[in-house]
Amino acid sequence: MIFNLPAQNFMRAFFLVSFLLSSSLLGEEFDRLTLSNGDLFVGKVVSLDDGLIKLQSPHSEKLLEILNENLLKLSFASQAGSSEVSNDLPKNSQQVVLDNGDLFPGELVALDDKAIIFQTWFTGDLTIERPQISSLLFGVTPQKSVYRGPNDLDEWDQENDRNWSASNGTLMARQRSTIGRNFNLPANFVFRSRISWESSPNCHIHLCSQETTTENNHAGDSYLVSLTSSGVQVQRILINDEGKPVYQILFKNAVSLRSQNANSVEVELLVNRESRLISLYLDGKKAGLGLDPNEPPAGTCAIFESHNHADGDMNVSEIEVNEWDTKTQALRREPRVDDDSLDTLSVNEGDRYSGEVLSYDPTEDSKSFSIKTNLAPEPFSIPLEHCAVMYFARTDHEDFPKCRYRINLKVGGHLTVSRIKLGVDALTATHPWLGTLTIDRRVMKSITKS
Amino acid sequence: MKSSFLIASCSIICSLPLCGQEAVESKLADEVAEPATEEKSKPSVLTFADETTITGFPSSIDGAKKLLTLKSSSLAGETTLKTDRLLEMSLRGKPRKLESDHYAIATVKEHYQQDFHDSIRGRLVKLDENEIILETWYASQLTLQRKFIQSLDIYNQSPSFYEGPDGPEGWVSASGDLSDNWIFRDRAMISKGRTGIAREVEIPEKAKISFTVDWKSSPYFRIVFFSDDGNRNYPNSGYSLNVQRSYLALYRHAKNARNDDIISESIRSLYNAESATFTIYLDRSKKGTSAIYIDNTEIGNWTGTDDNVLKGKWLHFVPQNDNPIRFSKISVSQWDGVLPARKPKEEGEEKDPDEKDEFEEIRLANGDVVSGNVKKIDAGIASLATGYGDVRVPVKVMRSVGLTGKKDQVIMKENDVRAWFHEGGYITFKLKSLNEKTLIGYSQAWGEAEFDLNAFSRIEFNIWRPELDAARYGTGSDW
Repeated sequence: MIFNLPAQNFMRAFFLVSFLLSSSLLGEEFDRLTLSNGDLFVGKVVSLDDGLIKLQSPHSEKLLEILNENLLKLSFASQAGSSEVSNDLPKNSQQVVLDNGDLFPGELVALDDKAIIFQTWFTGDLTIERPQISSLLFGVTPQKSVYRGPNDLDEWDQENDRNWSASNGTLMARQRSTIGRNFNLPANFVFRSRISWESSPNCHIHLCSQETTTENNHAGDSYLVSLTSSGVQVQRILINDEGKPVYQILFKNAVSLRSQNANSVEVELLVNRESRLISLYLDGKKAGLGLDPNEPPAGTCAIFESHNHADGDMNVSEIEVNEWDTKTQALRREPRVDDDSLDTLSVNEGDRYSGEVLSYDPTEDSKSFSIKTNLAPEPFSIPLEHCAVMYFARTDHEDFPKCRYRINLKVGGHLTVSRIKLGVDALTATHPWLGTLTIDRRVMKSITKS
Repeated sequence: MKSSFLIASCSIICSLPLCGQEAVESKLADEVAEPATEEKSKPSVLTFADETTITGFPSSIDGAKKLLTLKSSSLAGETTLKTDRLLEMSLRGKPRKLESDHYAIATVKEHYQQDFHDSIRGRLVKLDENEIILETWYASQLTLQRKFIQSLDIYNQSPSFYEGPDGPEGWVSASGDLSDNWIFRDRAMISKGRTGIAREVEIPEKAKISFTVDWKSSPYFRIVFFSDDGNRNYPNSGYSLNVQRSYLALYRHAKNARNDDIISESIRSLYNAESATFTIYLDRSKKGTSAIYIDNTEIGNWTGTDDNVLKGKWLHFVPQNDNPIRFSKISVSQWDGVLPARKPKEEGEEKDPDEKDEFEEIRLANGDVVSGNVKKIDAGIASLATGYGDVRVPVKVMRSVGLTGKKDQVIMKENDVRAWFHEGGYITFKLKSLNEKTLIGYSQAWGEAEFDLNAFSRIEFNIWRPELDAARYGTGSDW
């Protein structure tokens, strides 16, 4: 007997404490305060103002009183495993972008020649003067996150356990091999990942397969995306009556992935199995759109396949899979017109109208904007459902004073404020243009201080 | 019996340097060198299992109540914290240096089923069948219970020259900012790209350089030692140990000398591994034999390169591709000059550990071995009782004393902490209290003692709680 405690009791205590710790400490159920000197506090922030931050810490019987002057960032607790965009909070399909760069989601409920009223669930209705608004974005509903990673090698299937390794959010291929997992891909989804290479790109991505590994170099009924130094190609793989694969090219693009000595590319695939359309974007630029003439593949898995033989010659990182409502295509919009003294209203079809947006009527069935342009004598209406983005005319406005705090929102976007006071349920803050705000604590992802 | 080692004779003993009383008196031992300048004290950093990290000056610890009080520039007023999930407290005091003519290291037998071996270094003052007394600068005289001491080694200079990495201090990046290229975490450094990292380390005449390297895909890196330029990945002189997948090559570059290809080997064990411990044994003398071991297996050796002509002190770690690679447990220390595989083996049947030998095996600096017993130590001279009569030997020319007799293990205590010395090694004890300057701890091996906090670089808490290991050491795949 070496330890003072009886050995069995000792081990039992170990496992009990181990379980409790692993379930409570390692998740993200606590707020995290990062200070400028590198200190980090974990716990529940009970209050915060310009002087002190009071924190309930597991390491102290009393509330810790942390000096705000050293605050760099406060990250609020999130549900374990939650993604950057929370799946549980109310969602809006519109976003307002202020002229100082602030942006946040909500819904336009009124517009006149002076201001708009923008309704938010987390800080109520906001009246915003038009000169302070840069743009209004439409159809930007945050999409439900399906997967974000890679996190751990154990969540992946390999042909051979030693062919791939994982580190710091990156999968690394040791040799020609595959790695896949069941993402439970929904009917329509956006699949995004970064592929990097040491020598040259040479890999496949199999989508909508039934299996997580390939057999005889194919993944069965699925889509096959090939990335090589000579370009990209998207094919549909069908299995014929003899059980052999038949390849149909949906589209290809001879884009050079190695231009300017690039050694990585962000691949984004928008897969709409209902309309059988599949779009490919490379580093945010459209690289192809194809229509699958067949019944779409029904699988929910995806596989990465490295065709490089050299060790560590292909890496996969920043994998992100979201459900897709097939409407949202954030950040793929027409720019404003050159004459920025005019309002610009751009629609999803790529059309763009410049002039003066006179009004918005949210009570009509179509919820239309009325816009007067130089091309037509009379204003005409554009239904909200067709709108992609509205740029407001640039006019002089009051400068935005320097504020020390930036509130990052779980629903996307941020606000720049001063004089903050955080309570258990809400934060009050002063926004130089929006006035005093009371912000629901649930919406806050983090507060950073400059 | 060890009759084969019994080589003692007065003539041999007296051929050793500094045997005379005058010489001994000239360097009588326990002068303690104070730090040259009193630096402004730096705060400690407390790290908890949930990643809470607090910088501050601990003013007290109550070991029994598991409470720590500190003043922190991050917190209003003095704050009391619970230590039950505290992993570690770093200490930034300036260690002093024992100006002794020798360094004795007593290694404590490990705790039950643990790999950690406590070690205490100091000037050997007394050795008898029950006790070993070491004079230290940080805890005055420590009386060690011999039954808990596994080995006693003696060096003629400080036995360790670097142990780490504990952080970025002292390291330089071959190009760009260090933090852009390397991450320091959990006493390891992890590459972000191909830029090498280097530091100056004194490498003695006979040295042991060891490190553990972890990789994710396959190993592809270079280690450079005796380099003359820490700012270059490819310095002009020094040794370059290159590892690529399962291939290892060692080159020597010296000014005005041809470049030597020293070793070129295929190491199958590296191919399927994700980690390996490298040990480089270096004898810089003209006829010295040096060798490289991987995971305790000799890979190759070389003789007669006269590495004293290599004056550079830089030690480099250079990744050769963009895949992350982690280096940890880097140690540069004295080496006794005997390669592991060549150490003399015990003769005959395995001995009953409880059996008490009549004589102890005492190794000397010149390689001689004396079987005898240390009768007394006075003014740096040990009187040895041997089968050929009494022999007087300066302690500084002794290299080890094979401690015979029954050995015992120290009991694990709930409040045990592990305190790491600046100069290398650590001790495990029950922490009773700590104030701004000292701590009081208890160990079965040395009883209760008060230590100068400046001796330690960090203290680990809750060391026997395996549920905290993941937070303390990280999991295998999260680096």
